[in-house]
Amino acid sequence: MPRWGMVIDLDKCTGCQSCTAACRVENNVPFAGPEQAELGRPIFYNEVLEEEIHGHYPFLKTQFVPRPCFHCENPPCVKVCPVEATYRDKEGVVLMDYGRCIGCRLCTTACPYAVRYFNWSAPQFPAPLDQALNPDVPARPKGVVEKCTFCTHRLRAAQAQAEEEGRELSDAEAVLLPACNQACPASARYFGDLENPESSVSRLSRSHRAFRIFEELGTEPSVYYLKSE
Amino acid sequence: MTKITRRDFIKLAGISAAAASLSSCGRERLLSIWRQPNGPSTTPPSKSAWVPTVCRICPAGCGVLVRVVGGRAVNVQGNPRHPLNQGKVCPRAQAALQVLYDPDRIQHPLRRTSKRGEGQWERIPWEEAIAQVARHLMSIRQAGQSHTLLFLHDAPPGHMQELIRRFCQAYGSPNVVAADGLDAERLTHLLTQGWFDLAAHNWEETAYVLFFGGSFLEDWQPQVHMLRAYSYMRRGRPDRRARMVQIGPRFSVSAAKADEWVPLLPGRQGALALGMAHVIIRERLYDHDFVLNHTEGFADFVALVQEQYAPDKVAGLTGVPAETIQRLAREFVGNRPAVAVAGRGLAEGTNALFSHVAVHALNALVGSVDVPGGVLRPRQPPFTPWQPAPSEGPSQPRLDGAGSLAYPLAASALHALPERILAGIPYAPQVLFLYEVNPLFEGAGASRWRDVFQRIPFIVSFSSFMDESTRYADLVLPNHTFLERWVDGTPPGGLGVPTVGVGRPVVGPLHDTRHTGDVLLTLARTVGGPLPDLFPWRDFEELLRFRTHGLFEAGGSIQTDSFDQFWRELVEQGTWVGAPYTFGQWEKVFTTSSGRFQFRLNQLEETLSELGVNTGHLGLEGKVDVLALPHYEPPRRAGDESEYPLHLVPYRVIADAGCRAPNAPLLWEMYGLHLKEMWQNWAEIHPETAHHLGISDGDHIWVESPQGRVRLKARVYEGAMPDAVNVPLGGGHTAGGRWASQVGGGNVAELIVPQTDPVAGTVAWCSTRVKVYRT
Amino acid sequence: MQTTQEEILTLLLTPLTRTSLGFIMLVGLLLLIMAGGAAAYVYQFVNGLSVTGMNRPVYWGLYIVNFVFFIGLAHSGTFISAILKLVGAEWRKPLARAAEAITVFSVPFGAGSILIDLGRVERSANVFLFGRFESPLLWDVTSVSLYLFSSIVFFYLSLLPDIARCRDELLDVPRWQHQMYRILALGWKGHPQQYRRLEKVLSGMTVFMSMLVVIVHTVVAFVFSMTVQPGWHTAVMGPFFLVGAVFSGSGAVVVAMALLRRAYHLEDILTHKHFDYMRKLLIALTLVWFYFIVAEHLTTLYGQEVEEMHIFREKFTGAFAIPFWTMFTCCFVIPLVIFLTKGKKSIGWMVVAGLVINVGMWLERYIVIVPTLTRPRLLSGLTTGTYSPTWVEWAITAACFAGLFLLYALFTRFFPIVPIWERSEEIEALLHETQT
Repeated sequence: MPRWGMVIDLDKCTGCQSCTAACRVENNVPFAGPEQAELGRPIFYNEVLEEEIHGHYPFLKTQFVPRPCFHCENPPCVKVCPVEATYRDKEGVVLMDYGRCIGCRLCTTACPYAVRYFNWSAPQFPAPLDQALNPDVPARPKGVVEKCTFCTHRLRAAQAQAEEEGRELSDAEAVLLPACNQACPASARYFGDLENPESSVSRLSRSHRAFRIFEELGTEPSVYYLKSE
Repeated sequence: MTKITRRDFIKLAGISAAAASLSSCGRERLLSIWRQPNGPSTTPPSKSAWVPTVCRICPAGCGVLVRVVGGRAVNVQGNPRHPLNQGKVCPRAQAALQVLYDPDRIQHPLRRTSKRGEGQWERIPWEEAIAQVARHLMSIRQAGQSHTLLFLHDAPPGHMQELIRRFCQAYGSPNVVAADGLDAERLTHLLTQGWFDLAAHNWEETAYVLFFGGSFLEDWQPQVHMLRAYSYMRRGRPDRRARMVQIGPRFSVSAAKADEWVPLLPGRQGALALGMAHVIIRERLYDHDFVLNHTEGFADFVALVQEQYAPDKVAGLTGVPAETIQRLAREFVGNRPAVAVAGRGLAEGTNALFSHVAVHALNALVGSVDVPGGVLRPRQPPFTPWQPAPSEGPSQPRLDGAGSLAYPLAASALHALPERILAGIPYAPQVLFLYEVNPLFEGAGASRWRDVFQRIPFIVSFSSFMDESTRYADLVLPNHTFLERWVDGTPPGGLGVPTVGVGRPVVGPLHDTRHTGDVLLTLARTVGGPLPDLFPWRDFEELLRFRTHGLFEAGGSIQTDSFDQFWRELVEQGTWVGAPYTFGQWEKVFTTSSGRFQFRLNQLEETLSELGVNTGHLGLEGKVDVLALPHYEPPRRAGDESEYPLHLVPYRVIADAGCRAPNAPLLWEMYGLHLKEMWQNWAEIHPETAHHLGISDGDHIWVESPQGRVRLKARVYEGAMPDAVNVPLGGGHTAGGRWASQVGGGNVAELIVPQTDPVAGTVAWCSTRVKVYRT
Repeated sequence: MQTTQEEILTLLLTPLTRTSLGFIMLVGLLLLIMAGGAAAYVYQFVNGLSVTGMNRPVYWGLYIVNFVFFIGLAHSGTFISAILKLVGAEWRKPLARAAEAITVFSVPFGAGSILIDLGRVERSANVFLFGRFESPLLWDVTSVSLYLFSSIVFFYLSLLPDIARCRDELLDVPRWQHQMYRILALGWKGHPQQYRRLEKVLSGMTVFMSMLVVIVHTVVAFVFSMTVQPGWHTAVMGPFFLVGAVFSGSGAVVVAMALLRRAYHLEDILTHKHFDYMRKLLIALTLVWFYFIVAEHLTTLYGQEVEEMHIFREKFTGAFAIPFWTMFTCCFVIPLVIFLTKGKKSIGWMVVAGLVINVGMWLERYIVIVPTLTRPRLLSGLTTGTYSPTWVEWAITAACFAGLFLLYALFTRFFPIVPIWERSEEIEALLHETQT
């Protein structure tokens, strides 16, 4: 049984935000517009965070940290959901059941990484922008929570394809499977099976540069970062 | 009535209370219909097709694959075959879908029915629109006034650019004015190496890079190539990690990702480069072999540098400590192959050319010219040559003064146009064509272009968006977006190996728009004279077929027996790649008369004396013999220091797609990563400066230059230099679509006092001083 | 002067027979406010929660503040009628029903606030159909439902003999009102066995309710403290909420007492003595509240943990300084001063104290919930959220308060607010008899 994880190399990341853009296009994430953006409501399944600049002028330092959902093994969000609208599937991906979510937002407040987002109003895709919607990803109504799914629709399609061809999904196919990974010009992102010790993500997760965010919380994130030199 | 005892009542109450908390087992089965879990793809893979094309949102021309499902474009990814981006894209390409399906796109030809700029239009059929334009062109031509056609464009390198040039040339107008602003680099290569083009780089082998000027990870051409190269240089080679230094006016993304940021105000790059040259020469660390065998004028260069650019003096000119200059110089020579890059962004001043020349001289000093890891000459794809175009009548001077006494070596000088047109020098333009350019927003001084437009009797825009300039047009002949038309592109600078991207329409046209290339070809046929013969192609696709025949003959990455086969393959693959780069072909690398790298800029010297130009007239400080060597030309700054104490530094962020995607909410919502700003621009001010001026983070301020003032949100930013104000280009739109109009902030272009590099003709973006104060 | 039983009866029962103009105007005003809130809710339902001021990262706002506040307010009733009964504080008897009425009428608005806050309220049944007990929200739903249900039953049962009395003795009332009494009295005859059984049930429920009181508000606190967010993940949250609940509830009881005393001329029933007992109770609660505040913040300050300190600073000197210090003043400084000085003699000042306490406690809920939300752990160094409630949230908040007052006013119009049967000497004698 594979356990999906991701590795992001912070040394290579150039802060270009291709991942953010690709994810939003792939997953039919609505844009918020200026007023809603001012209020803090845009949805970014993947968001590039920039650390607070430290140091003294001109010896300044900062880091760009692309942040998808961490698909924790011990997810605080799944724990607190009253109706099991969010759940961790057998392969380790934390998913949403949009049809069941009651919009109580306990999961969004429980997540220490703030990776979960809420549809404060019905997503708008003024015609003809709705023509560009990806048919593989369900539309969400207002009032439900959504977040990064590790592009589970792509994963399932690739697995189905592999099964049809009578083989396993290879590591090479997996690495660039999510939209964010595929778009990254710096090839800074990897996806794959953490249960397979030979996969790229497994090997990289054992690197001396590897770390996870807030490991002390015991959430066991499935996303590893490789720190810059 | 049956008496319910209290006992029963309480029992009932107790049971009901428990019922509120019954577990879900058993229920789940019953109500599983409510569950809608994330499931597999609803579209069987076979129904979607991936169509290759070339992204035209920026000049780079990355190869992209567009997913089409049921006639709709739903996704954009990189084309793995295209050597420039190899399957990767930047955020702007992702916005292509929002460009195609923009609800505010111009959907059909429009004719103005109100006064210019008031925005009342009537729809007219294409035939009528083209006929009207043709009539204008024909009558002007018959009156012997062909030269009064002014074609402003920012067409990316490719056949639209070629077509526009040829059209004007055949029609009889010298006034094709390009807006890309990269001519300082091109002219540098012309003067030092004999060819007018951007450089290509072989980043795979580079060990050390000095980036002077703009942010190479946000404002570079071709951008995706540089992003990939950065990653490769850092971690792609197990035994080597390239070291990079960003020298520039702000702590940009690039400065953060480089190993070191050297704060330097724009316009002073040349001094710093020459200071480093001084150290390299003094310590004899230059590449003796290269200098001896492949350069000319080195002795003169040495004499000048030794005399004028000692580190202490340069420290005084630049604010960079002498020790840093020395250290950088030693690092540069100690980590070969090392490359010095002068920037392809907005960080140019009035001395752009000489800055570039000084920086490029460093490459010559360490022999990084045409070696692995160094600076290469791009090889042009072997397109079928054009038929020679006869020129009718005496050649007329250009409206923008390029090539004349005003700008003797410039190829074009867009930002000199307003002054000249308003003064009627050298003559009045009668027709203006606008293609992928928005001078009313992006031109230096922005709104002064309105007066310019008012002087021109007939204005035609080919824009897909009702942007600021198109609002002032008389006739709009909207282009297809690039996903709806035949496109091609050759990367600017970039790779070295000849690369061509070709793309067919990904989806059928959404609206009643037309490929501007087709429109120009129709016009050519209608206008008459020599044009119909010179433009025998029915449409742009046919033109591409004609030109790519040369690629077929050359072979390259697509080898077939017939051209039809070749064409099919080309369209299917989306790209053609020529022969790999061969280093050391010196006769190609140096096409100067000496066949060597010119430290002494003979061509400049000769041109100036031929024209009898006084350097003072050009606003240049030195005498010609100094001018003709890499030297520091102090930048002119508009605005008196006492009244305007701060330097304005305009810059671009990666999410800025300019006039090619003004109305893409995706990009506006990720506009200002480092300051967490969306949907507006800002003015970055150093904390001490802000404190001194009584400005807090988030205050609204006026930023005022001698040209005008704009209202901006102040952001206190430690990465700003103390005497600079950094403002990104993009905010302050008043047109372009519903989302463009909602973007807050102010247009920094309004503040730019129009000044031009007198030699290269490029606009001096960074030569304006400003003052700031609270509103 | 000792008022006779007759006079007391008259005092308590007469208001139930007529409607004053003041009452009609009050009801009219409250209905108007509630209509405003209803309109605001419809607007919110149609347009989504974007009409509120909530955002990322401040996912919860006024609605959750109201939820905690109203549930907290409810604790007074149970505290006074159940817990004080257990320790045998007889003085509580006249206040009991007034206090329980607060409970019964504010819990629905607490629970209702949650429903108002949901993104998809039409799916709230999912909580019952697919409920997961690992979620603190389920503990909440269970305990609050249980609490509401048992409070209503307890309240109703305590009211039963008095309804019967109304049925029997209020003859010049409209027919429908008499019918109402008849139906609700469930055929109560007033036999000694009935009284005995009632006493037994109520005693049993007292124990149960006392446990519930502790559980309910602790569980409400768990919704916050079971997350790992800074400022929330503390063990003191449960007891702190509990104390706060009893505190605010008791303050409300004082206000209710004073209002009823004035409106229904109950000066001889709700005497200065009662107010004095409440005063002493409230002093104790004020001090315990202060103890918890100090314990929590001193621990945070001493520990100097980065993310915790961000929130600490926001509360003490930053964006939330004004609400924080207002809260402190309203919950500690002003009440204590009043209780130790003016409150001894003046009921008016006690009312002031009660109101101020509740304002402070509402702010306290706000201070617990919002600052932590503005600085979730990962973003705490990078960005600070802001929260500005909109008219929708204020309108709905006002409607909830108006609803509470309305139900309360309607109740006191039709039912005696002071228990009659418990005071009756005859009944006391009856009970004594059967016990010996």
